[in-house]
Amino acid sequence: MSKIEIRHLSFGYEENKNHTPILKDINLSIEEGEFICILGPSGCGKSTLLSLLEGLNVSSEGGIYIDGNEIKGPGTDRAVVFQHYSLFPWLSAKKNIIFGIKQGNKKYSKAQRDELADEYLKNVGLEEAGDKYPAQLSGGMQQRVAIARALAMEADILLMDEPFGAIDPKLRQELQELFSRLSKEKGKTVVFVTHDIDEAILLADRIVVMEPGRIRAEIPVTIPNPRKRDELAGTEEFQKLHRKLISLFYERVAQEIGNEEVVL
Amino acid sequence: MKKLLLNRANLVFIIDLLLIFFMPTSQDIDAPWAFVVVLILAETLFLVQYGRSGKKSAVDVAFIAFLFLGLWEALKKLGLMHPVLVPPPENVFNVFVTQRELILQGIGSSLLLLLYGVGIALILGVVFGLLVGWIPRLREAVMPIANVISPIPPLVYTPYVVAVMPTFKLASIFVIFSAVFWPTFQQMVGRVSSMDQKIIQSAKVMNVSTPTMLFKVILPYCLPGIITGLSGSMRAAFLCLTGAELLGASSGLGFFVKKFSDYADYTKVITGIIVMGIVVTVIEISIKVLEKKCIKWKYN
Repeated sequence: MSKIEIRHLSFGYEENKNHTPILKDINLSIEEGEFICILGPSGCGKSTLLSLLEGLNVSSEGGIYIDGNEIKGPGTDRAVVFQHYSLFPWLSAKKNIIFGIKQGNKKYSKAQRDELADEYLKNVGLEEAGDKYPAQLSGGMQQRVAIARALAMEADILLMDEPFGAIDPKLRQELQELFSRLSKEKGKTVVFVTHDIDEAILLADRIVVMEPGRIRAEIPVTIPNPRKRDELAGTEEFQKLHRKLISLFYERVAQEIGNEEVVL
Repeated sequence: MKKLLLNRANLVFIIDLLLIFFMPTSQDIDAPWAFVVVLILAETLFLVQYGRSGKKSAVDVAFIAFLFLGLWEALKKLGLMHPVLVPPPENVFNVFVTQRELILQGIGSSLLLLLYGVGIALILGVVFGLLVGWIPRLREAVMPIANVISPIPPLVYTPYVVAVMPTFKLASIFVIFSAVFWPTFQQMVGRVSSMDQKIIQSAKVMNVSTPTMLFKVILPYCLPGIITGLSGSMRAAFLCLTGAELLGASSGLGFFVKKFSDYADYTKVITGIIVMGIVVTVIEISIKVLEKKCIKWKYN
């Protein structure tokens, strides 16, 4: 049995019932410990799919099963990192992480929580910043804390909604490599939404390419881990994948403008 | 140092002292000591403030205050002011000494009523506001009713409440309560229902329970707004309290003013008014201090 099973999943907002649904008959199996990137242009429904996994939205048809149990709402078996900085501004970085620990499944004593929080801060390279409030941290640092908070919930599954989308490129690379290493180390199952092709190749074990409403292709990435972005860019395997993903992207564009030849 | 001492405010301060001690007069005026103490306290406050902040506005404020006191003193001594309606400043500040027991008792009794009224109103306003703001069905049921009751100024029904309630204390607490409860409640509902959805979402995906959501997420998020609103609420509460005290109290600051204005003792009336000003200012300063202490995350 797969860790996550998405079966015949459809979703549409109630107010526009007559319109095409945002997601239609999605089927996807995700194995334990697998890193899945959901790649697609804006508006293809990838974030909606993630919100269904988060339990913030409820499917109109079909369902999502984790370890065989259908999800009915948010749960402690999943932790989420959003694109927007979602830390609680009234709590220090460390207290934010402790909040995550408290929400997790396991019960810890106060001293244990404190120790764990320090450990997670260290994991994301912020051991010095525990007492800082989110407003005192840069966007990249806030996102590190958000990752630490998600890890702190000790959920098997991490759901990432374009978490590095608002971070400048230099830092983004650092965070991608950090997150890739942490999620592998801790054996997490990851569903990572992005519209950045390079990011998907760098991180994923399998890339799920979406077009509006449905899954277009599933492409496994066999480049061995750990991957370094600088070393990756020149390799033939990367180039091939990159070309393939680009063509999947633009084929769609070509269809939309009526199968005319697209000159790039 | 030169800047601190050589300025308009200090010049007028010296002139004030000269006027007090050396200007001859035919008026009947009390000993000047209380007035001098007040002047020196004001001067000290000014020097500390100006020395710390270096702001020009500190000089302006002190200058205006000292100029006002100097003019009052000079015009009174020249005999240009009404003998009964405008008492000399010496006499007004002397009342602080002669009536100190009544004044302190008044402050105590007014503050106690204020504490009860505002305290109950804040707790209930915040808790009900949280619940009503968070639960849509409750909001739709309660808000139309609240919108009708809340705009009625409590001063309007103060005389009625004083007549209806068994004791004056209960009446004033009730009036203060209604002056603070409604705005607190309505602002709270507004804050909760217009809260940053990103915060709500990130709490929801952490699978928080409803009490955790209300008291560990929404409440701390709204706390700065509550404390900022507190200063306005305190003003409204003070207004209602003194209003009520004018009607039927047997102690308190409003009662102090009312009692002496019945006897046309305007010296004490003015003292009472000054005391109220001081009390309100102290309350507002305390709220600002509280704000900075409690809400480190917004002021760092």
